[in-house]
Amino acid sequence: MKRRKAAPAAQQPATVVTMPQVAAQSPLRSALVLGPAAALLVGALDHIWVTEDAFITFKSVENLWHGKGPNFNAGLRVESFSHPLWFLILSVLRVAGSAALPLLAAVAGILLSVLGLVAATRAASLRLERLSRLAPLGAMLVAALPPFWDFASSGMETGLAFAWIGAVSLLLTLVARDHQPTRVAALFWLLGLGPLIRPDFALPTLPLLALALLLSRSADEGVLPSAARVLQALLPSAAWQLFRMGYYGLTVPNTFLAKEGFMSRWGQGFVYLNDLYLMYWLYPVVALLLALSALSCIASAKRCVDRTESFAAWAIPMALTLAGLLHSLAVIRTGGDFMHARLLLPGLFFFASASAVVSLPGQAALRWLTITACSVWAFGSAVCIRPPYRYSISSNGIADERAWYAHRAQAVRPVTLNDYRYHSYFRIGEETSRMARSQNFKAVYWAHIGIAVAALSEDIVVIDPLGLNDHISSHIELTERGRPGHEKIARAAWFFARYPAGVGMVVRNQLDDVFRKPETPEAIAAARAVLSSPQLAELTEAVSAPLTWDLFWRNVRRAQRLTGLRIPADPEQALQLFGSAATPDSPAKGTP
Amino acid sequence: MRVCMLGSRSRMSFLVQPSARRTYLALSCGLLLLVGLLSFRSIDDLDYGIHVATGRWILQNGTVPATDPFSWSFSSHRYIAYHWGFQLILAWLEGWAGLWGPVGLRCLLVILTAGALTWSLKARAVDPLVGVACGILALVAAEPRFAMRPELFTNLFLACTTLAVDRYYSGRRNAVFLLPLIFLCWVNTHIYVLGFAVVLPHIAEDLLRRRLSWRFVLAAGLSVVALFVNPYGWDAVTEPLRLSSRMSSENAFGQHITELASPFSMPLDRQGKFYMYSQFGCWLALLVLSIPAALGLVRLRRFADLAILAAFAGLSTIAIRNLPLFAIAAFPPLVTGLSEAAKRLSRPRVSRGKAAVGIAAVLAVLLLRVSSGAWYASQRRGLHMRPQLENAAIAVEASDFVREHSLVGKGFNNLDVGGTLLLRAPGFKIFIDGRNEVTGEEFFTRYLQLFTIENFLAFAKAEGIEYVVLSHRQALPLIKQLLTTGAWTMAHYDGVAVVLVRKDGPNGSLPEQPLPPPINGPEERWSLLSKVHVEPNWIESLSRWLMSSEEVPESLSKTGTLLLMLNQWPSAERLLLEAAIAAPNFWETTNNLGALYMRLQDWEAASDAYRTVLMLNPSNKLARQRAEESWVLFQNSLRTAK
Repeated sequence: MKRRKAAPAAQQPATVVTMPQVAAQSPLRSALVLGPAAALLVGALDHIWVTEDAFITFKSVENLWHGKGPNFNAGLRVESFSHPLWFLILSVLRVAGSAALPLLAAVAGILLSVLGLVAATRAASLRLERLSRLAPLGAMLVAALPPFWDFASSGMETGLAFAWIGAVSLLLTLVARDHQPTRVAALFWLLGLGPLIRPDFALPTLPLLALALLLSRSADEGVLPSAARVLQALLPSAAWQLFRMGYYGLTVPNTFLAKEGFMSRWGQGFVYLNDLYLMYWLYPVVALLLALSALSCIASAKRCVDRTESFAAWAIPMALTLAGLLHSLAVIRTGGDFMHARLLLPGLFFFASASAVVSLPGQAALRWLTITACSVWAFGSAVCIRPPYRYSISSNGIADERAWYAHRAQAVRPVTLNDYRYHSYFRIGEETSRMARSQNFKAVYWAHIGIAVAALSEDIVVIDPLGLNDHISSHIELTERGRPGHEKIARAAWFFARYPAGVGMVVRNQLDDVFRKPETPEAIAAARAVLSSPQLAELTEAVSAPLTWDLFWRNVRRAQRLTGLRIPADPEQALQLFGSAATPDSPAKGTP
Repeated sequence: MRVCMLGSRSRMSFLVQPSARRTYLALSCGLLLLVGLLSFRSIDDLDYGIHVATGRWILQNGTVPATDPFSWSFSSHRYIAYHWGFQLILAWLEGWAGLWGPVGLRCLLVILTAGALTWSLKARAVDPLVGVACGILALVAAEPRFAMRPELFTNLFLACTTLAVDRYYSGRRNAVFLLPLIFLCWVNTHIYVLGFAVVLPHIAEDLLRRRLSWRFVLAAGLSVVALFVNPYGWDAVTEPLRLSSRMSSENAFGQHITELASPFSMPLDRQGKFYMYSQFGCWLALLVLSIPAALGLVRLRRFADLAILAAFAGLSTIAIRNLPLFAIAAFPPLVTGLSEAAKRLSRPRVSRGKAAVGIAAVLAVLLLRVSSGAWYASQRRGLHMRPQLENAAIAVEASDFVREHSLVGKGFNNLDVGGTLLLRAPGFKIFIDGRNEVTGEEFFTRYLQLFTIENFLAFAKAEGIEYVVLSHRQALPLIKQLLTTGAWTMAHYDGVAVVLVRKDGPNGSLPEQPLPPPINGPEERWSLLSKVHVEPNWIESLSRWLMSSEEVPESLSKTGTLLLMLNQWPSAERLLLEAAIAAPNFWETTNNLGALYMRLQDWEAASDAYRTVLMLNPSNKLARQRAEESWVLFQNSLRTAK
């Protein structure tokens, strides 16, 4: 690759431009960019909602605002979310008030998604501006696929992920064109934020980072500027990682532990992939789009005079495709998710960004065939194809979450807590709250800690048997694979060991099978003994002892070890493994 | 030769490019396909049975009836079957090809009507784009009247008359001699009078312009003579004139028959059978477009066309049944006038290409909607694109019950079920059917008085009525009151009608039809309620509007509603729940389910049902009020329980 001579930043004028600056700003080009985004906006507004899991994050935001730290339960430092950047954005949005947060989260998600698509489409149209017969086929993929409408909002980080991908694609394209130092800096800062959107974004960030280094580097510069840019990119993630280790005592989010993200489950992952790709005919569609994108890139590269220009024309779509592939593989490896399509959408958005705009074939027949095929697919996908298990859970454990929650809440667009007031979770939450008040319960063991907990009074500790918000449940050993995200279900004995009957209350729910068998006093005593063992006491201390600098650094040092700690699900087995430092009757120290 | 000259000019301006010609041809074919799809559908006409029964009678007896052969109540009344030709063809086709015959006949007649109008427009050399656009409006406006009735022939002959006249004026002078043949067929199939409403204005105009040709006069004269070639002679010629008096609102029929009401007098809700928003909108659009069209016709000095346009537009405002007449007879003048008006627009805002694309898109949407069934489903019309009798609209099952159980003695029926009884239970004498021209106003007025329990019981005692077949759409209060007396057994019920037999009479041994099993407690209720999956989002609604395969659960829903109205709540619940699960997006069923739960005082379920209704129909104020009310009552009941 032939590199340009670098000019000092101050002297780097617009003349350094290597790709044509003059983009045709015809109404057609504007429609090319804005049309799919408008369609996505309509779909996303129609399907606006906030999911149960988003309310889990809202609870942590609420606690942060009330000075209880970024935690679900006051006094228990557990990272019950896996999207730190989104958490920080929500914490800012909370300024509008607690009641407005779900709506703001949903709207922000939609705006970010739409902006992401605009950016991705704009980037692709800039890359192919030398070509004619451009069509926004990749962008149309995003606009026409219902899961994108669902997860544009949802109150989760997905919209932010789309915005990030679109922005990275646009900045890479702009940096390749004009090398402006501010854009280069913005690009590396942006890349550094990737792992903060979700930890699994670390993997697709790598090829993008490599490409960013190549595109930003000048011929005569040494290694140092590049190293500085890499450090710049690493800084945000490293800072949060340090905070995570010191504050939460783990190297990964607690949710990652609860869902055993370290373990691979390829079979279920491919089931999850097929659930999306087969249902919407995405295998041939994505293949066609990537092929068209490749042909367009080759055609565009051929028209470039400069080799750098030529390199950028094909390298950016390729890096985006590689990023999408890596992200999808990462998701498949962990077995996907229980929410239909959700975790695969960023990967698909990468593919769509690579092919957001393509140049259609020159032959009229082939061109019209492509347009017809894509239009039929888009129409079918947008209007006809819906998961067959819309209002229940499929045999593979995957569910159309939005349809299910909207159906159960009897709300067309359930966003706020008020929209969920008829949902059984909310009503159980209200009832539990009443019971807790009247019978003086301090803690509740309940697997749906989103909507229901929002209906509970604030002083009640809520422990999730699935481990999302609890340091003990998340460390329970996974013995049998089941529905993704719902595999580790800690027995009530672990709860009663900390909150004895009269103080703690177990709410039975869809996990009835687990809770049907009453816990024996022996099991509860064994669990209590295990909790007082040195290993578990250390874990408990790491998350519940008053935080000091000393504890923070100790946590940093032991985070790796604590992350690897696993507790057998059966308290009596656990007792054999860990032994006990205290008599079985005395409550574990440090437990809130 | 005025039109010929005009035609030549127009053809030059509109059809000069071969590609444009192909576009217009494609659009016309699309429109004809839509005509075919809309006319090929199941039969839900209450009077269908009357026509088939009369046709069968003529085939059996080799002559036309003089007095009513089917009833015990008005058998002495004179019966002039002035549409005997239609009835004969219908009965013959039905006997030969089953329901494919009548449905195929309707399809053929409607397509021929559309074809004749298209040919007529060609003869007038109008703007094809205006023609297709107005054709879509006319088709949608007239479509609800594609009933299995003799007016199908009137529509065809009206179009043929227009075509013959237009061909005559475009230079094919002998085409006018088709008129006697048309009128000969017309007088033997339906009301011929309207044909003269097309012919006479042209004669008058030619007379005033002093260019009346002997051909036209001769053809018109022969047409008048042809009218007398029918089995009833003078009576068949005058009968339509006598019937026209019944259009007035003072008439007993005019007050009770919906199709005789003005489109403007229909309530703006979904209850009216003849009230359909798209159809009403298209008719209104045609009416509004008549104004520029009239200006165009004045400019062209086509005063006969102007008179026809005005006359049929006026007729359509008087009665719903005249909508297709306006859509057919006024169609060529309307398109001619509009084409002229469009030519006068100095700078058209939309190019012809874009207009063609727009029209094609509308056609594509309509084709998709009709072929998928969404067209009927969204208007709550239980029609299907297959040859069948709609059991949920006409009393097929009740009539079959009468035949299969060989009910003895005199039977009473209401007007809705008479025709179907004739069709499905041929040996049984009926009390009344839809032949108002045979029964007469006096009989009809007495019939209306029978719907109070006192009058009916006295009448039943005097006449020795042993069984009744009543549609619950018309006669629910009487059904309820009869059951309350304890003297009648509900031997049969379905989504349309009930059959009650007198307990002490010869049919008294017939058992009551068993009721559906009630729901087994709250667990089954909630399990079933949770299966009512509605899809209220915009895109899902659009999808349903465009191409829904969800059928109106009429039979289940109507039977459930009947049982609900008869206070058989536990049995009604199962049927309504089944209907709601089968077609959850038809909120009407769930609304009735809410009403049922209100009566059962299951406030939680009522609230659930009404909230489901609100998801689909958020503007339903009553459902909103009841959802809130039942929720409060549910919360109160929880507190009381504690």
